[in-house]
Amino acid sequence: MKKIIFLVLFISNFTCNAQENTNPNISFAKSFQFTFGFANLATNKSMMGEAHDVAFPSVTGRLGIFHYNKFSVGLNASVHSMDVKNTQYYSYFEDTQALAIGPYISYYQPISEKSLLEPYISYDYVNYYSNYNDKKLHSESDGLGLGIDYQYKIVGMAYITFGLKYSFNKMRTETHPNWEKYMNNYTFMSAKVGFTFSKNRL
Amino acid sequence: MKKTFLLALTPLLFTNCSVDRYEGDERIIIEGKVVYNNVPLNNVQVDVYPVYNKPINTSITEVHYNDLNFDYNHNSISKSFTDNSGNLSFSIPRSEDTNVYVVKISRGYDTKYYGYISKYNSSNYYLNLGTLIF
Repeated sequence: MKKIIFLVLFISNFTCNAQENTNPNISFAKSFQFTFGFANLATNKSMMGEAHDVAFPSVTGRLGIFHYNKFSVGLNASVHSMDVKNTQYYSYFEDTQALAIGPYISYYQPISEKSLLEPYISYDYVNYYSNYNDKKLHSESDGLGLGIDYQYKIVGMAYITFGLKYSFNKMRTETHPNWEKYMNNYTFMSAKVGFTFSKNRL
Repeated sequence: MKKTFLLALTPLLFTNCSVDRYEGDERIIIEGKVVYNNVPLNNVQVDVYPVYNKPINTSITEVHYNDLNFDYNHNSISKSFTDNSGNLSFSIPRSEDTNVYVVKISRGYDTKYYGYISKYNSSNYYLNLGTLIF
């Protein structure tokens, strides 16, 4: 826990002291977000969706690296753990950890003096690790994430953040063509709450 | 010093060997039906175990427990149940150690094994076991 707090403080400090470019439209590393929440909500009829319970907690971090006007490009990462509730097609495991990382692009739009909306699109490369009784299963997927954050300025550059994201994942699994859709197409929603640290937005 | 270092690594080697590792990059779909006296058996438990036997043909027949070479952990990779019509349907990921499996059907205290699932009788990641007579 100490390490996580230290990491959050380090990155927010890094964000505070980010290099200011002479061009006011362009800046670097001005935004960082850290959230907790739920994942694997509202899943589709798929092997992964039917096999797993709702994931809690889901921890997400996002670092804006390059900013142009209201656009940001950066990296987002998340980790969540979920219990296996249906072993029929997934195989006999107890729980699964999902680690996702990938780039994102976002655009923020102020909606009042103290709040803004920030829709974003992301590519998520996900590794899944399942365990039970000296058994381990590793799987991978590629995903497209569509999300939107509501941010309310609380003090200085800190914003309380609420977000929803829908992820469209394609498992990297070779299987029979008649089963390909069920085994590989995996979609779910995530909900999160946390903090965003951004400069010069409102 | 070198010997001490190698000796220290030995337990790590054994720890690593005792884990069954699977990859989700391939999944075989298995289907079939379980009957008893020509009556479909519903809600019977179906387990799948990786084994180190060498299949002599592609047919699925009952195999005897004493003839099976299980791995050290003897862990089932799949656990499911037949439906109301006695049908079974599940998938198994690729084992990193073996590509041969047996199906265990459990009804109360009675169990029977059927084999073998292997690359020789699965086609395009699919295998129909046919009707398994319990």
